Amino acid sequence: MSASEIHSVPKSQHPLVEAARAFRQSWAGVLGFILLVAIIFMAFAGPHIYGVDPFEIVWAPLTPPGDTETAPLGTDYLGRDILAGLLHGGAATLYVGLSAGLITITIGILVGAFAGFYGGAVDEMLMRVTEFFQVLPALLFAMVLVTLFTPSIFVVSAAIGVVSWPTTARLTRAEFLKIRNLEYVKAARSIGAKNQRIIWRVILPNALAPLIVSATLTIGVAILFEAGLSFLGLGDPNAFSWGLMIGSGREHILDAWWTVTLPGVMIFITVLGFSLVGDGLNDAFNPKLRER
Amino acid sequence: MSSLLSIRDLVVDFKTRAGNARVLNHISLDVYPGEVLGIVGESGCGKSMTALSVMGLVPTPPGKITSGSITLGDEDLLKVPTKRLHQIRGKEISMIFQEPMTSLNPVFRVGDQIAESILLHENVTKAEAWERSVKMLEKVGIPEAAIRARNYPHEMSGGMRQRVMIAMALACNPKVLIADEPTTALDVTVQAQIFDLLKELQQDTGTAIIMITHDMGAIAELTDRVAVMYAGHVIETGSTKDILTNPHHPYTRGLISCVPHLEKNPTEERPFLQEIPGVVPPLTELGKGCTFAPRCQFQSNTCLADRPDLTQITAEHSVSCYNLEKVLAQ
Amino acid sequence: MSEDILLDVKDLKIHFSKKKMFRDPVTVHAVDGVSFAVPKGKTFGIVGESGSGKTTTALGVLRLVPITSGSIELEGTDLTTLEGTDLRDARKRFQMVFQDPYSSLDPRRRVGEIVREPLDLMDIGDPDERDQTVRELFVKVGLRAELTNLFPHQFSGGQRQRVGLARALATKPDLIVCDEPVSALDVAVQAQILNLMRKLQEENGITYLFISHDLGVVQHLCDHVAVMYLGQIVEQADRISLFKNPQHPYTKALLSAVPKVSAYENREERVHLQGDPPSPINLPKGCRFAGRCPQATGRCHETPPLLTEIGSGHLAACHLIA
Repeated sequence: MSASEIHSVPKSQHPLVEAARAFRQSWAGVLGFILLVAIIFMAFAGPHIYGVDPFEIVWAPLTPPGDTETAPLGTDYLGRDILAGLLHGGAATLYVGLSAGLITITIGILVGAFAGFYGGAVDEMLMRVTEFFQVLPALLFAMVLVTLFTPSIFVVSAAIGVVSWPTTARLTRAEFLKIRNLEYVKAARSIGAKNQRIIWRVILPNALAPLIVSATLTIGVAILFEAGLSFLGLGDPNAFSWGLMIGSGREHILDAWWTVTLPGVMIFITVLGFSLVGDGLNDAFNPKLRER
Repeated sequence: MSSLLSIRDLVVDFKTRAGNARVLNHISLDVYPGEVLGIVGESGCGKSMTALSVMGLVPTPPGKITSGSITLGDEDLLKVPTKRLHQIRGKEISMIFQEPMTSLNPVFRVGDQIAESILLHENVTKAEAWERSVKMLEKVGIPEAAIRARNYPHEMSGGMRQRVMIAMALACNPKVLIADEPTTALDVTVQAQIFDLLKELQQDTGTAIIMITHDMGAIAELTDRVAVMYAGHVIETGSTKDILTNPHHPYTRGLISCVPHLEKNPTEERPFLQEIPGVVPPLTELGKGCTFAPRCQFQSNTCLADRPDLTQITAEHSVSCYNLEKVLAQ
Repeated sequence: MSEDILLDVKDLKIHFSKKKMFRDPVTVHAVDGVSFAVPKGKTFGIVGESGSGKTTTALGVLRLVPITSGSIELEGTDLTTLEGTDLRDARKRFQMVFQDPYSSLDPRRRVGEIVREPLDLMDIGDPDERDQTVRELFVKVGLRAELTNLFPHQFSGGQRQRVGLARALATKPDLIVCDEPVSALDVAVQAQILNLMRKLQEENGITYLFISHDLGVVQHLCDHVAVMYLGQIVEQADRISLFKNPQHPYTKALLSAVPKVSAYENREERVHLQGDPPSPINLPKGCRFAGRCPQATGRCHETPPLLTEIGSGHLAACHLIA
């Protein structure tokens, strides 16, 4: 009998390496990635390069962009520099997006994993809870949460996380239901693996691909959510975010378009970036598309 | 006798990330009226791709029919306009698939699905088409056909569904029926029923059948002639009896002897099975020698340097191998 | 049977109940009173069609599905009573090889880790020597030791099945349950795996419980064979007497349904079976095969036959025999 069917040892290919290669072939993913890198660079390096405090009143209120040397993108209704606001606001917006995304994913995976793995009564109970949260009008519920507590940037993130986890939970549950019947899960059990190990070390890594895609999209949605809350005046007044800028420019939308439009464009680019990266990841993780 | 369907020098390429895979490499096959031709080989040998080429169903891209011809009557199926191809498909050539669970549309009644295929090709009224579809269901041995025609696919068992598929394929009296592993998904007792049905229908209607399978038993039961395929090549063709009793190609011999065949009188003696070492090579890395050479015990330098042609050894039997003397001496 | 018995299954029942909204719960009698004994170092085959309960029987023996009643003794230890740590400890002694070489290996792990995992989980051997053990297991199943670093998708179906065998062998089990281990493989590769399984049995004295629908493979590999139909064993005998001298009408039909390579010259008369097996939910009250049996009599439809010995070690459940 032939001792082996392969004569030279092929290089070990981690499935994630394969996915990364496929990601590079997706133009949407690459474009999204570039947008995000640019936004993140701007949010963290920008304030150091352009050293104007966003809360400082630098010029006459509602100066249009391009008119002066001091505020190249104009000023808001208090005379604060819009460019400084855009640069400083990025960090807060990204912070809200990422932490809300993290909270969403954590609750969603926990609930979904237990529901999908244990099934039966556990599943019934967790799914009823999930449905309860799903039928609540999300924005209204988030508004209630933010009003109940002092609107800090953390409370806003938590409120967004608490209203958006049901989708992730359902997705996780569906993946777990599919994978828990595969033979490698039976194999893990037959070599003595305990439930916790099977959930976190065997099933979850294999369920992760669609969850990562959904997490990316969730971050985009969370950023929009934050903008919405801030627009309604429920954002953190001490953290300078793009949402806050839109909220404070709300009343001048007709006579000073730049106060609302410019931060709006930033939010648009960021959400677009996350959503394109999500598309790219989806392509990368989908083995059917990868064969091409 | 002149052939009904004739495949000449067919080459099909698939673009993959690993490079160009030549899934069919200068295939020539003939199907004569009223016969059952078996195509046998392991997965990836090109047997299903041959069927898809005949049906005009090669997925393009990534696939591409690079050269060759497939002639039915006096038409080259690779050159006819799409509209004509639609007429031919289902009317003159039809196909049944491996998976009876997924090849029927779950949201329509089976009777309607058969009637639909009749309406597509023939100028009949709906009522006539329905009547004929009930008749077809009777013909394929479905009891209470008139009632069963109103069933949805999920209300039927796997064997029943495969019968429906056969009824649908034969509804327009095609000249050629392609059966791609029609019983692989079924239990043996049901498989036996389907084989008997196919034999019976074939004798009744005279439809020529191309039977694609990996099972030498199925070949023996059903076919008149066999083509053995390996890595996109036809490596041996002949009458079923010749292939089974006097196989020439080392791969054909291996394919027959590596399977534990059910015997009526088993003995205490149980030798190890004969193995074909290794696996089918990736089609992107075939090299220029005989495709089977890396797994062949008779391999010589000639085999590695150049690919042997399919050569006639008797009127009906052709084989592509350089070392026939050595093989036959064994 | 005078041989040492490794696995003794008595009256095993595995029923599933499905709850349905607004309706009475239904019970699926997947395995319904199955008894058999597997001698040490031998291969015991269970054949049957889909729905016969052969796979559920295997999963039951492995304690991977809840058991309704009955006992499963592995050299005196009743596996059905073990729970928690005791069950995990006992799992060292019985392992499984799965049907699908694609879904039975975790795609996110290196094959070396997959084979090492049972050693880690069951704390077998010195941790520093485990990688060496894994390499030895690879060589034993005909894979090169350097391949441990690769991922499952880099292997062919046959090689994956070898990895599956290596994983099963890691804990040095007495019993390996194989659920259709070769039915997803190409015929040429099938022969390689079947030969490997026999070689491993000769070298290590492993006992196999072999589940298959392929009668040719069962005849080749198994020493004793049980034929299952709708959750019950209808006939059981040693290899030679079962295939040479089948008694139960279902066994006869099954054997005659297999396409034979000799069929091109003499097509033997087939035992025709009508229709499909009834559902394991609404079981007939008499013999479960009566509805499809060409010889069924009134009695068959009324009382279920018992599995009785009709020759030395040859059991069958049919009113029409003896």
